[in-house]
Amino acid sequence: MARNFAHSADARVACSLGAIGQFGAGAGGGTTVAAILKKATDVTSGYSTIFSVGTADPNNWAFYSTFGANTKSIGIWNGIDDSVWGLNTGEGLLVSDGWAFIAASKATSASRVAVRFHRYVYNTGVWTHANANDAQTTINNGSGAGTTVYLGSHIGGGSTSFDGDIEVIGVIPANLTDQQIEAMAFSLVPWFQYQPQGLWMLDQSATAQKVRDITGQGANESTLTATSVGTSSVPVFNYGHSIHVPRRAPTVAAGVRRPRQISVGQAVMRAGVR
Amino acid sequence: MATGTIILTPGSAVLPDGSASNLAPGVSRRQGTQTGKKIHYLTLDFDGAGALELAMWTFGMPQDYASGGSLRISWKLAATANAVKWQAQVGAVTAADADTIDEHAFAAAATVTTNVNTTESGRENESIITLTMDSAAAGDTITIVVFRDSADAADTATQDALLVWATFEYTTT
Repeated sequence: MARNFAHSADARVACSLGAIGQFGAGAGGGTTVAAILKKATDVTSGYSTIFSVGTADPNNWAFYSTFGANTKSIGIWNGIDDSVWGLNTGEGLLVSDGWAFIAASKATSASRVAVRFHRYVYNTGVWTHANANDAQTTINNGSGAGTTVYLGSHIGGGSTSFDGDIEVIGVIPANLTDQQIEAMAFSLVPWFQYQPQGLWMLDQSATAQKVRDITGQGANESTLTATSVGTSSVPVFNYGHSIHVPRRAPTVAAGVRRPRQISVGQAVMRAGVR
Repeated sequence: MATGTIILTPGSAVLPDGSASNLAPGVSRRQGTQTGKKIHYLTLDFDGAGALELAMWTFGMPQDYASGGSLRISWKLAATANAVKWQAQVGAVTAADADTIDEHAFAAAATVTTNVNTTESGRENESIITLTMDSAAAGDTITIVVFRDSADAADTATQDALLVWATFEYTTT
């Protein structure tokens, strides 16, 4: 099961910073942030935040779903410029979409470049990839990383959290292509096609289990506010483990003589030891 | 002739897309209660509140397959009364079959109803389903779908049934 975040309670999982860096400044030529989630309500006032990083409000950077009167769908705030939004009205991520994979990606650059947004809705099997399409479409690299990571909420607090279930969140320090991103909706394995800066599975059976950064880079849960274990099963996405078929020694075909087995006593006798 | 075994873990299951008649069980990461080192493991959590949820595994039937086929399920449930009805179906497709893998319908469901352990909540239970093998042969593409229909009258437990592992067992040549 996934983790449920209640917007009204400003639910969040606070984590250490680990290896999270500026949005857009990853060593692999940019940054991609992605999540698999299911909205419970279309938050129409304030922020609905999937991921944020910083020290204090405003965040150093953040990944949003709906903001405002549902005219903004998926967005990135980089701590310097205004937020950029994509997949807006008419294409947005809504409660009625059910479980979805969403991501935002950006190339590293010394100047402003476009942010590209990605969405896959499991119910329909449809992918959408589009550059930011709101008033502002380009941003600089982020302003820094701060000290804390918030999963499902905004550093500033005040009813800014996501409302619904989140299964996984990952930050990958590369500007992944549409094709690379499309592999990520179905299995955990492709989330490692470029070593993530942070990756959090939120499938713990009890909230007492700590959320760990499974990259091993230390962005682990420090404090928890008002989350619960979700009740909605996540479709399709799995760990990508292999089926185990134990190997067995081949059976001896008819007519093929097995090696003779002799006892220690027989061996001694044959060796002429009396 | 011996028993061949294929191990089917929660992490290797293919989960359906969540559309009508294709609901997936939840996948949960569980932590034990030991002092110090604790067990951490995955389970497939099949709903006990009326839904039908399913998971499946697809593999090539090993060349030493001769006959038979059963599914052994290790599972647990947070209660000490009532029963879970596990169900499974097999689809077997041979190369050049008229049915493509996409078209081929599963064979009839085989079932087993097992009472939960009455001594302690959460104890491991084992269920074995003798599968209807859909004329499977060595080299076939085999899909095994495991499901729980908690609205079935024989399935009286209302809690999630947590599949810890399953094995497909068959008779070898």
